[in-house]
Amino acid sequence: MYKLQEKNSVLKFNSDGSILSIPFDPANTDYQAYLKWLEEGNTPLPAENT
Amino acid sequence: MSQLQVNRINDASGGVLAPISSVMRNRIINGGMDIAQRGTSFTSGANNNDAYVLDRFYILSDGNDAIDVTQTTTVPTGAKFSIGLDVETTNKKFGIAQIIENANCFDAIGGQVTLSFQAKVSSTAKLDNVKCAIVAWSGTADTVTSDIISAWGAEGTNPTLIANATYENSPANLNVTTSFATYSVTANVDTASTSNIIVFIWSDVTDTTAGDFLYITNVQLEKGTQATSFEYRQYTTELQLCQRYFWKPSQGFLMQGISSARIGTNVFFPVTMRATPTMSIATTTPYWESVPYATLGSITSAVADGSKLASAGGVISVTGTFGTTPVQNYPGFFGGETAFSVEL
Repeated sequence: MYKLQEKNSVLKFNSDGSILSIPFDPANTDYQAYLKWLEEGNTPLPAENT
Repeated sequence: MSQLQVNRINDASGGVLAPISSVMRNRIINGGMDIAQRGTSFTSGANNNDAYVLDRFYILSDGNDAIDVTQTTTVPTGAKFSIGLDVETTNKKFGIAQIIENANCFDAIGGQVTLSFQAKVSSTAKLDNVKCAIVAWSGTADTVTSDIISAWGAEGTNPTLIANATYENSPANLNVTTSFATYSVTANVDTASTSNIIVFIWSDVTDTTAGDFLYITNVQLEKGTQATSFEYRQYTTELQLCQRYFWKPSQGFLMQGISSARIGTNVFFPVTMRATPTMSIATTTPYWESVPYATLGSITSAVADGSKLASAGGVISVTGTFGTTPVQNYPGFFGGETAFSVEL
């Protein structure tokens, strides 16, 4: 599952409990995987203010 | 003035010495398996298919937990480390691979390249068919689908690769024995639109015994048709080459309270990374020692925030529920196991 962060990044919650902060950089392969996930019709959770 | 032009120099016994120009000879990073920023042992959970293990190398296996991976000192003469692939789930094909960044192989594309490495198995009773491949990636440069296997196939049948991945050699049984030996293959990287080269070494049998090992080290990919001696680099050089793709600080960070639920600091990467990295915090319990209270407290649900990072560094922060509440503008020590990754 993905969740948007405040700007320019998205969180990914892995099944092992780890959490990734993925930047919106087209050269980042985690971001490429996120774009593919969006293309499949998925929607991330909204961001929270902290 | 006379001029001497030679392509290579042979030693007295006929062996091939390094080319005269040895700059960027080995396109593989960490071919000697020295760098292990993620750890030296990868078992259940950390040994999944497509997971990075020793720096720059990742597992390709028919399912997760097919092999445990360790950095071992079972090595050929002159080497320091090897990667040990220990059969964990029987009857599965498995191997390791490395994707070479376009910037480090563009000049080799379109010509002959030679892959060499040293390997042995603990027993040939079952591990009797080890193969290697030079794979061309013809998709967008540096946008490689790292799990290049579409179907592993039957024993002895080369795995079917995904679209945009092509074997440049014809992988065949190398007949690896229980003693270390050097194996090499040469291929012409002539697939149209190749943008990256991937090196893949694997066991192609489907009847394995738990506890059997395949050891691999001194992996080298170089231009030309000759396998030259392995290029040992200085440790610092090898580490910095790896840190372009992955960096795990050995200690935590001095951070500052930004709010009661956020701490942050700025960070400068040891080398400029390939692109803006993904920031992560390990699931092992992070902790936060706030200076005003001098109290050590754990953090629940620690979340990394790398949204203000770039390839050279930037600002990082951590949000969560802190055992000792951060105080705005006061420093403290964050001991979470943090990593930055921008692997291919």
